[in-house]
Amino acid sequence: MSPIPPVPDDGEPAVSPTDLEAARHGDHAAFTRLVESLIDRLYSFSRYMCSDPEDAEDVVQDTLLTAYRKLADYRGEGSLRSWLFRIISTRCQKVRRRRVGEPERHLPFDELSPAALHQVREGPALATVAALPLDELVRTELMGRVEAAIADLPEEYRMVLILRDVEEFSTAEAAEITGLTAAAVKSRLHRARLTVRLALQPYLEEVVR
Amino acid sequence: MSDTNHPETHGPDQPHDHGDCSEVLQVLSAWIENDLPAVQQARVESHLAECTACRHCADELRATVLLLHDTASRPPDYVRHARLMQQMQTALDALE
Repeated sequence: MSPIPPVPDDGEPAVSPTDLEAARHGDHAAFTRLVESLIDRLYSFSRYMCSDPEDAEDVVQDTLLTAYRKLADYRGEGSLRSWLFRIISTRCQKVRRRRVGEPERHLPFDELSPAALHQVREGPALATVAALPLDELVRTELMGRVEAAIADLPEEYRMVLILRDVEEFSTAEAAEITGLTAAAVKSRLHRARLTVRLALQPYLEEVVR
Repeated sequence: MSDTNHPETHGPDQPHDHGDCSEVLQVLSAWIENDLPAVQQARVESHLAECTACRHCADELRATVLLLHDTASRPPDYVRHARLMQQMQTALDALE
């Protein structure tokens, strides 16, 4: 297996027009070169959105096969990454709908409540803890708590948060991928961020104790 | 949102309109990304200069976003990467 191709600083892997054209004409190797640097990010997104790791891998495969078959539809107006995420977000929603009976998750508060904000103000500051020279173990634990907090978000908030803050798509791109308005993306993002921050509170109190 | 003021933390800070806090807290995510219209961006900036509590919330949101960015920089699982690539090759070959 060749090394994972580097992703440029702007986060968008360069798409070779030659590979794109060849892949549209059935060249598997060219298609593989186009998607190899993106496959881990697609899996990460899928893993957050599907609670089951096997489902997550299936969704990635399904996404890549769909992309291969429909590559002619990709006209290059947006990034290839954004186009693939549009496909995978739809696939993830289908998997979610298959899981009949799974309880819906809700945000732990309806609004930016005074009680929630009081917790943020009174407890240890994440800004302080994150800036500490944490040893590797604590750092890994903190990142694990962040990932668990993301996974606990209701799906509609989780998807927006991952697209904006983990994958670092713009608001416009996240809106395009999810089919939401930019205003809805911004609103969900804000609430999701605050929810993640509140979920870290007990851990922060442990760390500074 | 009716009551997100936090007057107790203004303390010795200068007097200002606590009603502004509610509005500011609603747009903090957009503010930290410089994504508000210029006039509103400046108004939030000016409020944060006066209000310790809102400033603290802005710092915390910013730290949260930085941590979220960091989750994407964890090294990939090379075994899983190889498996996903292999599965894709197999599926593409099966199309023929």
